[in-house]
Amino acid sequence: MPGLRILRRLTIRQKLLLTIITGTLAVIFLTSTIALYEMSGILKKDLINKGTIVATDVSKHSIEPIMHDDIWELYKFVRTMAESSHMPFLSYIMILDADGTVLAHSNPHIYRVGDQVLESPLDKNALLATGAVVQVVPISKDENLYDISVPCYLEKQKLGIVRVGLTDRVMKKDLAVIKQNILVLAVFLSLISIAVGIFMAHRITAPLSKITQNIIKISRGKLGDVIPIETSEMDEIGHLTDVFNEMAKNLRTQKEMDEHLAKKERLAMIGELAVNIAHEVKNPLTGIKLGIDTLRRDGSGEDIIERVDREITRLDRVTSKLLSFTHASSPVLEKTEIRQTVEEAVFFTAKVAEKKGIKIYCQTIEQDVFVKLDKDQIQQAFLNIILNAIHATGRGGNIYLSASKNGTTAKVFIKDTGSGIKPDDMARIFEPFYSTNPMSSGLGLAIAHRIITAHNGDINVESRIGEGTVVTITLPVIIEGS
Amino acid sequence: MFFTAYLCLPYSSASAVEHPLKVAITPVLVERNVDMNKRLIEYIGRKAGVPVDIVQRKTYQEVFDLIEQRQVDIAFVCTVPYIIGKEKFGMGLLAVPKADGKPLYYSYVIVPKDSPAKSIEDLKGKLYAYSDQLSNSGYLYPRYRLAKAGYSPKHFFRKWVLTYSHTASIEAVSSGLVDGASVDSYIYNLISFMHPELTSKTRIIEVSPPFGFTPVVVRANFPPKLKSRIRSALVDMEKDPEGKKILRELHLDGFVAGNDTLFDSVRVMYRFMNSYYQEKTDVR
Repeated sequence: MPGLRILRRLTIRQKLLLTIITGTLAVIFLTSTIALYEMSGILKKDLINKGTIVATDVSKHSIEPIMHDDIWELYKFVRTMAESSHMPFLSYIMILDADGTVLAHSNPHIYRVGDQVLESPLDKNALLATGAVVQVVPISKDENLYDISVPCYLEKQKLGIVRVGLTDRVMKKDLAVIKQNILVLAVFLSLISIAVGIFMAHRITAPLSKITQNIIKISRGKLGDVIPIETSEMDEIGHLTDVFNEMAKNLRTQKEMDEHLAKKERLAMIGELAVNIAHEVKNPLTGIKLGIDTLRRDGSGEDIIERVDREITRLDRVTSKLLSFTHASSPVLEKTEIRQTVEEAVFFTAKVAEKKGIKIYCQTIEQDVFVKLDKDQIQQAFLNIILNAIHATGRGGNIYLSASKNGTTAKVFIKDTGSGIKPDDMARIFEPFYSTNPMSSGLGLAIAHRIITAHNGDINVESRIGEGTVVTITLPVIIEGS
Repeated sequence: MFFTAYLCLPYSSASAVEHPLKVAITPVLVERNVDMNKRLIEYIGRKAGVPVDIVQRKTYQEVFDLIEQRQVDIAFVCTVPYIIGKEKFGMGLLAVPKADGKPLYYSYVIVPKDSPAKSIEDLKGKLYAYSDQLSNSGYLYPRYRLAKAGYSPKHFFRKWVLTYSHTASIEAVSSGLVDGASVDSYIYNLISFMHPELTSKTRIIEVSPPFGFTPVVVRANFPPKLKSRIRSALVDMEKDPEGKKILRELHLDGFVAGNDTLFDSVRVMYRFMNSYYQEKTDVR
């Protein structure tokens, strides 16, 4: 239904207003219709009453003049009555004798004394009246004539009849005035109801829109911008506002707690990092110190120098790796086929794998999947991940690689049949210096993660203890033409 | 109420002087200006040195009866009651008013302004208004005129009504109630001056020969000295500034003692009409 569709588009404020105005107008229409109907009935009854009183009065005063054939007296009386400003509803007054002959008529130009008034059934009915007879004749669409006839008796002899004609024009004019007043009142009441409606709707919807604005802020992560909504309403909206304020407050507290915790964790991590670095640096340093002490004591020893040199090399490697982690340069992107990068990584790691008796299988390596990437960095990432897999996999294990295009992304899977990662470790595998292998610097995966993220890619690890691990690297591909 | 109280008093001619003078008027003459008549009567009483009581009745017949029964002393009546009363019980002539310098007046036939009628004959079968059955100008003369013209006054009009006032007759014509009326020329002229809105809707189509002006009469056996004092007061009115003012109000020039022969022409008409119907006008 189109009407309902329009309703659906309305705001609560509009709906409320519509309801209030419709309600007010309906009530006004109903009550005014009833009032006018009742009023019309009362006025009609009143008109007939007045007419009957006039007719009866004229009839009483007419007895003597009729008996004396005092036409002038009758006329004067009729004319005085008809011209009375108190009775604007009088159309005519006539006094007829028992045969329907005019004795007096308020309009002597049309009804002459001596004329017979017996033209219509109305006249005949009026003449036959033995008591007050009311007849209604429509004159026009808006006007009715009420003919009231009252006989004029002397003892039991019917001397004549008094007929009073009343128009309801004046009454209808009064009704029209009443109608107009009701209309004015209706407009006034409607305006009041609109004003009240606007006020009420505002009271209801203003907190709602504030709540909405705040929810939008929360959804955009701007919890700090949320301002508590003040309300004194005790209704459902007031309750909603209170609940919302409570919720916003709780959210803020939660966020603050989270931030606090995160900060603490970060500090803890830095501390740990420092310990790790210190540890990594301290080991070779200890070796170097021992070597130098030995040299000082013994004076010479090629093997000791060799050892010191080795330790310095180790120290250099650690600091280099640390530098490359902390100072990772932003990638220099160029269009590269992903297949090439994967195969090169395999080429470099094949020997290491072979030493450990691990076989690397390149499964489906899709061709012509191009990615914008820093070739060296990505290769480094793949190397690190494959080396990590080699370390995690025991002798005779396998490593499988595959690369494919999936919509707008390229996916590289590196699967091993190693020991898997414990769930507790899983959360920390990308942390620097975190490693379960004492021989590892713990920076490999952290660096790989950093590189992939810098390429707007994603790295995901799934693992099952005893079964192995799958690392999925997702990178955006170059879409031809774009 | 006042009159009822008066009726309780025993009447005697001896006590007439001490008792207030009863003066009867009808609205036949000036319906709308009874006050003017009252001022005239009070003035006369003052000048004649007698207290006056004013008695008002609707018809000439009622006043005629009062004067016949000596319940009033003086009356402003029409010529017809005078000639009947003089003959029947010795009603006396006190004075006759003058208008336009003469104690004469006329009977007018008036019609609505837009009426095509040119004479009373054109009103045959129409509605007509007479003022009073004892009025000359408003009843006797027009009927005499019709009878003389060969019509039956009774059936000439479809219907005739009595208004008991010349003013009312003018109103009846101007309002369209009737198609014509016979009125007193003095009253018509007075009304045309005081209420031009009434006469402006009417037109005079016939003027009668002159008649003796409607007289002021006294009852039979009225004390002669008092009568002459009152008559003098009336006749001298035009010489007195206060009297003149009242006369001007009434559009009269004054009063003359008057002569009974003034009314002979009315007598002729009255007798003619009586014989015409082979019956006397019903006086009671």
